[in-house]
Amino acid sequence: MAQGILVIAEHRDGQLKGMVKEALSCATTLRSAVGGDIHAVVLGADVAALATELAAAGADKVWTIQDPKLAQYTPEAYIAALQSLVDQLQPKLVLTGHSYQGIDFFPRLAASLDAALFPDVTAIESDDRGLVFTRKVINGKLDARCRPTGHTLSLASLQQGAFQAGSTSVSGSVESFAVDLLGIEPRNVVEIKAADKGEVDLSSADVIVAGGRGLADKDKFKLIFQLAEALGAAVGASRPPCDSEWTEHERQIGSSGQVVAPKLYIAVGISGAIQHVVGMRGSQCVVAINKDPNAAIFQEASYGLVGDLFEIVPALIAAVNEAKS
Amino acid sequence: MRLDEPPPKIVARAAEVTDPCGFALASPGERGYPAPRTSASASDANRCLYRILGEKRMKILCCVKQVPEKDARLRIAEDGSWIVEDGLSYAISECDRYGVEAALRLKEAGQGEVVVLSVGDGRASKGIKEALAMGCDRAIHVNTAAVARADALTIAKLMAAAVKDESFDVIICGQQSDDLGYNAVAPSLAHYLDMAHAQIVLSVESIDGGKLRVSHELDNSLIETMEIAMPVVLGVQSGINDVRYASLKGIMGAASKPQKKLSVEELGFGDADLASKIEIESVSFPVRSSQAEMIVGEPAAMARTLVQKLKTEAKVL
Repeated sequence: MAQGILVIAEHRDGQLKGMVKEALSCATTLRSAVGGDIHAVVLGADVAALATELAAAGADKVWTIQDPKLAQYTPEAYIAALQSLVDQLQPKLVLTGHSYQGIDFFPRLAASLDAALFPDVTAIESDDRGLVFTRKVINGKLDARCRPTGHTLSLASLQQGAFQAGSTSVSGSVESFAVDLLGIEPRNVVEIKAADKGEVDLSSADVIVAGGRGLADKDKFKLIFQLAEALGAAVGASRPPCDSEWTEHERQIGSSGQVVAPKLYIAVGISGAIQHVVGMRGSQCVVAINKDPNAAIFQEASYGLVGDLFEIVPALIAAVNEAKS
Repeated sequence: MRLDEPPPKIVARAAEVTDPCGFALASPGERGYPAPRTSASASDANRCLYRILGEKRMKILCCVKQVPEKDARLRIAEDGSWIVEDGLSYAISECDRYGVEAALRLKEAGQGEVVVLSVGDGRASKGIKEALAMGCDRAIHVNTAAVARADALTIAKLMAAAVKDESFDVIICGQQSDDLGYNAVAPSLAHYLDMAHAQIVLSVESIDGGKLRVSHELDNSLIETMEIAMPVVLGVQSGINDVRYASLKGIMGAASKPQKKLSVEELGFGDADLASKIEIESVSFPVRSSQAEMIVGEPAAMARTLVQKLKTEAKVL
């Protein structure tokens, strides 16, 4: 009978990703429902220090898989190594972060293990029928509660920030797991470079007005600049206006752009996809203006205004100017 | 995504004409494409053959899915299991559109064929027609509603069965669909077809030696560039190119392009094979977080109330 939870720990530049502790905390809350130990695995060329950190972060047992072919992440080597470990441990649940790296290897690992895959999960509960995974569907507008249909292994990648990282007094043990990667030929990674930040630095702005798809076109996007001017604010955007070149790419806020935490963030015509939300979640006060009352952005808002932004924003500019005079 | 300039465009450069692979010459398959793959080496031989002959034909598949339009007003069905689909309008999922464009550009940089694949009932025909009008050469339509709400692996398995005899060099999917949103079809499809893969792809170009140079996004705004040997499955990000509109000529010509319709039975899929590994028990609108205060009224009144609250309550103005 399969039992136990395995957490795959992502790391870069010698640091564990923040999501690792969120996943360990999630595993801890499911410990009694799933049964067995909480395992963590870290892969790389030299990961001893990371393993020690994991052992103090809630894992009963930390496995290190070390091989020169794992020095750099490639799906080929990662999947081969992880498949061996899962075959050995026979866990009931495998967790990792729904990061870009997770998105790259986790589905293929699931396919090779013939497992039930739950991507981008925001909550996991258990009841008498087993585990229930909540994930977003239809562009993040709806929560879907999902279950595995058979008694298979379940793999879930967790949405960044959806699970609270906790503290723990558990001190786990570290063991190395040997894998044979002789037949694996990882791809040639030519380079990894940071996308240039450009000249717009939104990180120091106190007030940001950000526009989204709802602005409809480049000309109408100017409304965002007009509101920002009235407020003395910086201008940001979600992905669609940048993709459509209504405004500069360097104004993009989110997982592919800048991460900001102003005092006031006004989201105009932004649906609130998680890729955007992770870039503005730290804002002190969020105002959301959207015609769709079910838009996910209202989840993040302190104040919400439902209606036609092309009526509300001009009214807001007038009200701001009125208040100033 | 780069922040200082427009996103990288999909570019493609033809491989060098000479290719030092030592396969014996054989007669080309029908219509100049490699014969169906009988073994990996035979397929490789065929690919090399076309480079030797200077044809450099690339066989490319793009995959499209019809999803509810972005601004669709959603209603939940009475039994709570899914949305009410009647009355919704559907369109090609956003990332998939960029995938079609990427496939067409890859072909246009050299020579080859672009095939469009869609899995779905009658609704899928609209997306196929649009992709053909944009310039795809032919279509494969797996005509079924059986996997409409299935898990990514079951969907990918069915897609793999539909294309496994075609020996595509490159398969392009959107990295995520706008409805089920798994971000998972490209990597799992690659597993079932025993091909390499990359997810969240920003650019792809053909280089020497039957390889592609592929850039994709990593977290923290990092961009990784790799060289991957074909055949390969790519999941492309939105916004990576300027998607073309179908020309009038394209629209007129779409109807006469070959379309292969396949049923799940023809692909040897029974009920057990089509059974999803995950079941959507119920869907619901997220519960609004308690701190959100909704301001209602006429625009001018809403605006004044908001400014007042931002000044006196939130104290951020």
